[in-house]
Amino acid sequence: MPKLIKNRKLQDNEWKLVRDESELEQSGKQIVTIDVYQAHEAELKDKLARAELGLLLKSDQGIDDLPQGFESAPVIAIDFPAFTDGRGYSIARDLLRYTSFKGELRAVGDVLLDQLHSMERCGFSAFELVDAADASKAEKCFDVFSEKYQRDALQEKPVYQR
Amino acid sequence: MYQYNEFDQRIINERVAQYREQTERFLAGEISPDQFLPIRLQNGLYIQRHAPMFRIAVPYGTLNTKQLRKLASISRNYDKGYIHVTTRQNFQLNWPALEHVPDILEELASVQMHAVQTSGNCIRNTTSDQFAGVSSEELEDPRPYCEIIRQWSTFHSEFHFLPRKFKIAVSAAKNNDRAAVRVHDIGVYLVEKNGKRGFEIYAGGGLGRTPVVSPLIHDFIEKEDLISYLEAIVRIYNKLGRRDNKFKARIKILVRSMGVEKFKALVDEEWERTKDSELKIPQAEFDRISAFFKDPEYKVLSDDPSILTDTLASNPDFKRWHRQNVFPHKKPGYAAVVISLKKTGVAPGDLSDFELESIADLADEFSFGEIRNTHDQNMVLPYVEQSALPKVWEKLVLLGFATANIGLMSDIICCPGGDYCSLANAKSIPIAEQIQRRFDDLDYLYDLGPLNLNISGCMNACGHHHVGHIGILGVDKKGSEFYQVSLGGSSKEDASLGDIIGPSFNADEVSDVIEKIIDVFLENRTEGEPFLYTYRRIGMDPFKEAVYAKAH
Repeated sequence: MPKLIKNRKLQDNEWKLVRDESELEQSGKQIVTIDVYQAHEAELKDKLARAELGLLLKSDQGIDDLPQGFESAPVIAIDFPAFTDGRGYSIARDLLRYTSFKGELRAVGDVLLDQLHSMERCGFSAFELVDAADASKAEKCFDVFSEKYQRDALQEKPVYQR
Repeated sequence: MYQYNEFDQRIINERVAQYREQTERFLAGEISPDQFLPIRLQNGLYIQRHAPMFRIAVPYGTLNTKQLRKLASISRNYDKGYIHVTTRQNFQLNWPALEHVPDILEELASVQMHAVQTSGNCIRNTTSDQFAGVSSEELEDPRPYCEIIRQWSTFHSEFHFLPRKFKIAVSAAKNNDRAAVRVHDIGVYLVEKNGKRGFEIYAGGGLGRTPVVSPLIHDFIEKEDLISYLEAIVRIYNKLGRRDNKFKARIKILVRSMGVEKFKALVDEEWERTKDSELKIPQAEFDRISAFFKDPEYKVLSDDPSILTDTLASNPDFKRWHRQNVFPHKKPGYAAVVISLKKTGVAPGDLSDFELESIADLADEFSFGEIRNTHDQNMVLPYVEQSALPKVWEKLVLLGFATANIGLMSDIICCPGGDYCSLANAKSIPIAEQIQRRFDDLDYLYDLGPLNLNISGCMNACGHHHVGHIGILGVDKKGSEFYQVSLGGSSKEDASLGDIIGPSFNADEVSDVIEKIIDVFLENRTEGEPFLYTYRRIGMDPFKEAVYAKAH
C-alpha cells in the first residue's frame, strides 16, 4: 500500500485502489473506478449506500460521471496519471463547490511533495504519495504560504473580502 | 504604481524560501530533473544553450527606478552585466547560475519584484499598453484591472498545471491596440457600451506553430465580473485542453476544434455558477487598487513651450527624434518618450547595467521615477515635461538610446535566437543587424512610414514574426540556417497573420530580399500609404514576382 498522508499526518492506509475489475474483492475497503462500479452496480450499490465503498475518478472524468448516491462514499479519489496533469485540481474544486460531498477527497497516482499545498487548497485532505520516502517530509509541505489571494478549501474569502 | 502591502510581501518572501528549499533538494538529488522542471520554470528559470536563462516579471511593463537599479546590480553581480527586454514586457538574464537563483529572487523580493509564473504551463505575466495611464487614446488606465488579474492569477491553486502556457493581455485603447491583444490566449479590451464601461473578451489567440487571431467570446462583461469570467475560461481550458500533444495543447486549438459557439456555451454554463460567488469584485477593491495608479503630481503646463519649439526649429536631429520617439500625452505640457533599444549593432532589447542605472537617473530626474517596458522591446519614460525634451534627448544621444526609429523598419522585434536559445533553428540577432545596417538612413526609413519587421529564430515565434508587417522566420534546412519571409501581419486591433512569400532564403540574401520588397512597396504605394495597407490592397503577387525574379 502506498503511504497515506491524511489531515497532514502520516496515517494507516486502509483503502485499496481497484482500477480494474479483476482486482475487485468480496470484502474490504475498496476504492473503485466508475467503470468497475457500473459493471458491478448491483452488488456495489448497497455498499456505497452503507458508506463502505470509495469511488475513483480518472483525470478525464468529472463530477457528472459520478453515480447516483456518490455523496455517501466515505472517500472519493482523483487520479493524477502524471503530476503535470492538472485536471484533478479542477475536479476536486468542482466536488468541493458544486456537490454536497463531505467525505475524504484523496489524491492518488503521481502525487509528489511539491504539489501537496496546491492540492490541499483545492479540497484534497488525503494523499497517497508515490514515493514512500517522502512521507516523513510531507507535514511541512502544507504551510508554504501563510496568505493566499483566492478563496480556497481552507479559506472562505479572497483577499478583497478580508 | 502598485505597492506591495505586508500581505503581498509575505507571499513573495515565502515563495523565495520555498524555492530555496526546493533548489537545495534538487541539488541534493532528492527531486528528479523532471520533477524540478515545472518548479524552476514557474520561478522563471530555463536551461538554455549556454547557461540557464532567467525571466523576471514586470507586471504589465511598469517599474520604478529602485527596481531598475536593483536589476542593474543583479545583472552585474550574478550575470554578465547586461539584461534583455522581452516581447512580454519582462526582463531576461542570459547567464545566471542555477545555484544563485534563490539569492537573485531574494534580492528581487527586496524591491517588490519576482519571477513567479514567468514560464511553465500556468498563467503568465499579464501585459498591457506601455502608455497606460498617460495616453489620451484610452478610456481609462487599464493597469488596475491588470493588477486585479495579477493577484487572482498568482498562485491560483487550480491552475499550476494547465495543458500549456497561458497569456493574458489588456488594452483600454481599442482603436490603437499596443498590447497585441488579439494574439493572446485571452485578450481583454476595456470598452464602453450604452454609457457603461466593461470588457470585450477574446479567447484562443496566439502565435507559435499554429498562429491564430482570437475570436470574440463575449462582447460585454461587466467590470465586477471580470475575474469570474476569466476563471470560467481557464477552468474549461484546464479540463478540456489537449494534454497528449504539446503542440496542440494551447487554448487556440481547443477553441478551434470545438468551435467558438460550443466553447462559449461551456464557458457561459460554468460562469453562471460562479458569477455571483466570491469572484464578484467589490467596488471597494476597484477603489483600493485604482488608488495606486493615481496621476503623479503634474504641474499645470501648456503644450509646445518655446524651448521645445525653438529646438525643433533649429535642430534637425532633435526634430527627427521628436517626430518618431516622442508620443502625445493626456496632460498638456507633457510627453511620453520612447527609449530606443534598437541601435544598430546592439541586440534588440539588450542593455547593460550601466545603461539601466543611467535610465533610472533619467526617470528620477524627468519622469517621476517610473519606467515602462514595451512589448516591442523598448522602454518608456512616461511623464516627461515637454520643456525638458531637449535635455532628455541630449542625454539619450550620449547613451545611444536616441535612434529615431520607433515604429520604423529598424525598430525590429527580435528573439534571442540561435545565439542563446536552445529551441532556435537559426540565429536572429545577426539578421536584425544586417537589416539595420542596410537601412540606416533615418530619413529614408521615415519616408517608408510605419513598418514593423519581426524576426523569430524558430516557429515558437517569440519574435512575433507572424504579426510583423514583414516577418522573418529562421528555419533549419538540412543543418543550414534559412529564412522564410512573410508579409501582411499585424498585431493591432485589425490583427492579421502574415502570408509566406515563398521558398526561404540564405542568411546573406535577407537584406536584398527586404530591399526588393520595399521597392515593390514604393512603386505601388499611394501617397503616405503605410506598407501594411499597400500589401492588403495589392496582395502578394507583385512582391513574389520581384523577389524571385532572378530564378526565372
